[in-house]
Amino acid sequence: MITQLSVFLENKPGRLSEMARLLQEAGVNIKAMGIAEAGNHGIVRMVVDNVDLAVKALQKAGMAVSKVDILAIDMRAGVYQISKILGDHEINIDYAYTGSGSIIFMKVSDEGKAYQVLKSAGVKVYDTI
Amino acid sequence: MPRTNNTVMCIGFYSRGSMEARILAKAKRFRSRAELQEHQSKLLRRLVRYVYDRVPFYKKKFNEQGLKPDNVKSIQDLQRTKFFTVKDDLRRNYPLGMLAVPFEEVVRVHASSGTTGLPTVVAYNAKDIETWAELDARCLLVAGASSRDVVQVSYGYGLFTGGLGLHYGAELIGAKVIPASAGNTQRQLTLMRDLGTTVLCCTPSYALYLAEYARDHGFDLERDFRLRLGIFGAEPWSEGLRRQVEENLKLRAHDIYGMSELYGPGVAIECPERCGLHVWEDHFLVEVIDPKTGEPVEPGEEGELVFTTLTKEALPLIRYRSRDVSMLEVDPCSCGLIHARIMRIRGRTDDMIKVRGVAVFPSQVEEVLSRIDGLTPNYQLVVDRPGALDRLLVRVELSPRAATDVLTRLVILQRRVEEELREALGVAASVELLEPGAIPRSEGKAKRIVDLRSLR
Ligand SMILES: [Zn+2]
Repeated sequence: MITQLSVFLENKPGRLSEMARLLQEAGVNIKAMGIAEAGNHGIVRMVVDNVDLAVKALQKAGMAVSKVDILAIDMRAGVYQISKILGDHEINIDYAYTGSGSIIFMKVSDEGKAYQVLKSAGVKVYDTI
Repeated sequence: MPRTNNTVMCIGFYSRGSMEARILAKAKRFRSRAELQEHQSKLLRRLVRYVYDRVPFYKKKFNEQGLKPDNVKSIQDLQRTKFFTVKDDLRRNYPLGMLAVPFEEVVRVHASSGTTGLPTVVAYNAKDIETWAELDARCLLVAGASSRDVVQVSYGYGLFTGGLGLHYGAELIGAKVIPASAGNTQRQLTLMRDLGTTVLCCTPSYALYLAEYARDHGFDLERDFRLRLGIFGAEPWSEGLRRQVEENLKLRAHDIYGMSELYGPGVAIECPERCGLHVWEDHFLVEVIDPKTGEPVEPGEEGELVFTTLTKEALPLIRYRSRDVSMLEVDPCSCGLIHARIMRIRGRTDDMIKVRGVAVFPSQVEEVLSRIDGLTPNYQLVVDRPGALDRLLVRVELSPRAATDVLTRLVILQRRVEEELREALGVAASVELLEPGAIPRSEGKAKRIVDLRSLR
């Protein structure tokens, strides 16, 4: 399993670039990113190459940032296949997004169980990226 | 003044218990509101003549309004005019240009700090000091204090009226007084513990601080203290704060109201029912007006409290605008007192905005925000009028602790704030969650209100 950062941002021009600038200046690379918005605010979800450094830089700027465990799954197994395995085991997919390459990032209702059932079905699940 | 000496002598003649009974009997001597109002009109007629003859400021004001003192029979005769006294009148007549007695007769002055430099000075003659003590004695008795109590007065002593006001009142009922004044919290708590303080008088925020300090410095709030009653005032406070203070200090908290222009604390107090503060109408004639028009509001409506001092001698005031916003309840209270009750002070007129005709105060918004997890106390009210209707937007910063990956949580939080605001304000508001630090910080008072309607 890998760590995702979730950052609360106002939904207005310049906020995302401000966040990205802070990460760049801290020497952090964004590997994957998804944005969910609701009215005047939203949450940026992302996977970075240095979680601790990223959290430090964002918190220092006063941003509301949290960490959560998600799955990084090799998408070449097929989205249908992956989602069917999870569905068959009563595991809900809360959200998903893709980055560069063929990895799909998923937040599910039970990460531990999902990790196990995917692995035993022969689907590649990454421990680091 | 011989009168003063006579009354002070009385203390020697009465036992403690009968002194308490005598003070309470005086508060309860009116059998009906009609009788009370008749008494008020009598005192008002006397007052009008008194200030006309003695205070050039008032003489000029009456003449300007074309009012003859003899034509003022009741408050309605003044309500027909725009006759008010405001704080600026006191400042313009700095220091004591509005005095109604010779300076030789003054025995005390107090002063409140002004935002514009010069303090507002108020003066008392011996009779005023005596009346004031009786008002505070009444307040203490009605709240449930007695001569058996140990009363710790932790309001500031000095130019501020809080300390000495409660001090004289507590002495008059025969209680044991600890004139602790404000500050030196360690010593406050030590005395409170060792002398067995039962009644604490201070600002509600200081009461909360005392509780925190006690907890952090090894005092056992349950076992070390004998507190049972708190007389808290001098700043607006909420029911939320009352609950906190009561839980933390293990006492029953009563709200007290007053201001230095009206003697000081002791103008009004919560009785055991705690449904508003009984205002001592045999000493103050209280009205509620629309701060914009100066017209009296309908009974039960909210507005600015206006006081006429019926018994003050050195510095009487006619229709003094308090700038405090509340409403008046004249229906009988189950405690038996017929004195009208002012409801909890909602805020200052300076801070009030009207949204679709409903008065809204930052303090109300603050109270809602403060009881919801995940928000900071940094907020702003924005009012505009995109079409025909006012629109209220409350912008509040999310606490960094509330960061989440689940958008629904934020949406639920936002809706909850909207619902609670609608409930508390009586008018709908939409809520915007902001990033921490989004609202500009200022060094002085925070700018809580942005009214875009005035720009149109
Ligand atoms: Zn009552």
